[in-house]
Amino acid sequence: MIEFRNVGKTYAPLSGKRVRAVDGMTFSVAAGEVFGIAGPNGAGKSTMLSMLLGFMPPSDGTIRVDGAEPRAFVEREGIGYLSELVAINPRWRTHDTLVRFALLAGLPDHEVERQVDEVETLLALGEHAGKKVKELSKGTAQRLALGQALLGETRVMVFDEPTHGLDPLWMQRFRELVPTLRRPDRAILIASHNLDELERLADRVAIVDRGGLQRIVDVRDGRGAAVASRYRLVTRGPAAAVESRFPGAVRVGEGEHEVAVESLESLNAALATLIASGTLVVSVSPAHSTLEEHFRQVVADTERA
Amino acid sequence: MSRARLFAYARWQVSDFLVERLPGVGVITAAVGTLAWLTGRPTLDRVATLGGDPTPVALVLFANLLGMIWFPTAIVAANQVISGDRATGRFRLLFAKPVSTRRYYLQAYVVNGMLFLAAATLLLAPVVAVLQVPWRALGGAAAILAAAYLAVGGVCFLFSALTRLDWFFATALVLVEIELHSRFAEARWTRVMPPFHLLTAQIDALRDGRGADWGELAVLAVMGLLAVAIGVWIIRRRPLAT
Repeated sequence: MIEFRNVGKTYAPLSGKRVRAVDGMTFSVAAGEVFGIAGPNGAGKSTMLSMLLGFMPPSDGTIRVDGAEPRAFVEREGIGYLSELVAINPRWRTHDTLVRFALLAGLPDHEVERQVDEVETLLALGEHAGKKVKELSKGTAQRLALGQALLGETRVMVFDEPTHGLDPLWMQRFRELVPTLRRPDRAILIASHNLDELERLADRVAIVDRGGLQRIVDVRDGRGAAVASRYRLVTRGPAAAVESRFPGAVRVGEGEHEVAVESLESLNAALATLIASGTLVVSVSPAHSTLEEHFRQVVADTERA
Repeated sequence: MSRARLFAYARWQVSDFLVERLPGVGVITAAVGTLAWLTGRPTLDRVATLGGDPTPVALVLFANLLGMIWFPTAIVAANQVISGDRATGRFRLLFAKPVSTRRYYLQAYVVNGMLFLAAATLLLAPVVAVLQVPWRALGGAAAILAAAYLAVGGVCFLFSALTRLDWFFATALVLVEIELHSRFAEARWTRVMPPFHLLTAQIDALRDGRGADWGELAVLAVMGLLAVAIGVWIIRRRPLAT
């Protein structure tokens, strides 16, 4: 559905030095897939998405969306897009904004009313319907921007930092929303700093840094399986009992240790001897998520390089 | 999969004009109109007292008013149509929808022009009534304002496709051309510039009670539409995010 082939982008301002924002990026996203993009600030995520939406052309390489140039695809079908910075005319009213975007999405009149009502209900925007955009809180403006992205029947959806500015309740609701947006003919891209969010929502996550695609992590493999190399262990009992069974254990709090293990078998064996010694194990959890471990590695590798 | 309903969207472009541009056009026209009435009333009263025909004086006042408003109101009606969306980043959500950027902005130019002409003509109507200018002068004024929008608005549209300072470059171009033409009217090289001076010539004709020169107004309209066409070509070529 979406294909980046050796895509690069160089910004060449009239004054100042040229900046290579994206370099040699190659990946594809299939229909039916939720694809995450993670990376630190300045990694090139926003440039990638701008090129995907046809807002700027790549300096080299090719991007295709359903076989077409991005701008041609967008003008033909549209993309359900939530931008990182929500820029909507501050004088527009909430309900009117949704109606405007519904018309631009090409919906017929009866669908405009139905979908706008649906989105207002889903995102609790009804009570703000008459307010101007400039009167909305950051979170409500973010919900409005999300709402307009849901209008229409798009085959590609792009969410750039979708939970930015949302309170924990709405973050959770967004996480519940994404699985309902999955369709066999739809590709969904989510760019986020929030690795936990990407790990929960995406099938695969591209980790980008310094303009390059560093690796793609298939988080479906790791979901629910203990493949982490470090665990957080909470116990009741003498700290020495933990430290003797887990060489290199680091005490991180009262009754809490971070331990390194080589395999699930060695973890379980060490826990068994710990429990047999009379120590109570309160909880065992991965110290970092799989994706977070990959991310840390990538950032460390690129910093070393 | 469906294309944007741009024709249906036009009502929202009307709404944007009414909220964002009409107040500017209204304030300029009302302020200058009031000034023209206040400064001209004593002369009109004196002519009436002496038993003379006040029409020529009223026409002078009306033409002076038109001479002061045609340019700033056209700029207010036409500026930042494209560059405003670029500068604020509003293009991102708009043009993620299945919208042709060329059609969207072309429609905005047309909507703004029609509303500008209607609003300016309506605002001038009370001035015509108060100054007791012949009503046919309002028709002449409307023709001049239409040509002003097509010409100045067209150039502004072209600059708006290129730069955030469209209003500045359009203003500079209009002022420089009119000034150069007033100094070097016979020089051939002044002919390479857009002939905005034709607008001031039309206002002079209105002042003198002569009819509009439709040929000159047509030249201005064609020039403006050519600028719009170039602007549309630039929109097609130039990336939205730069």
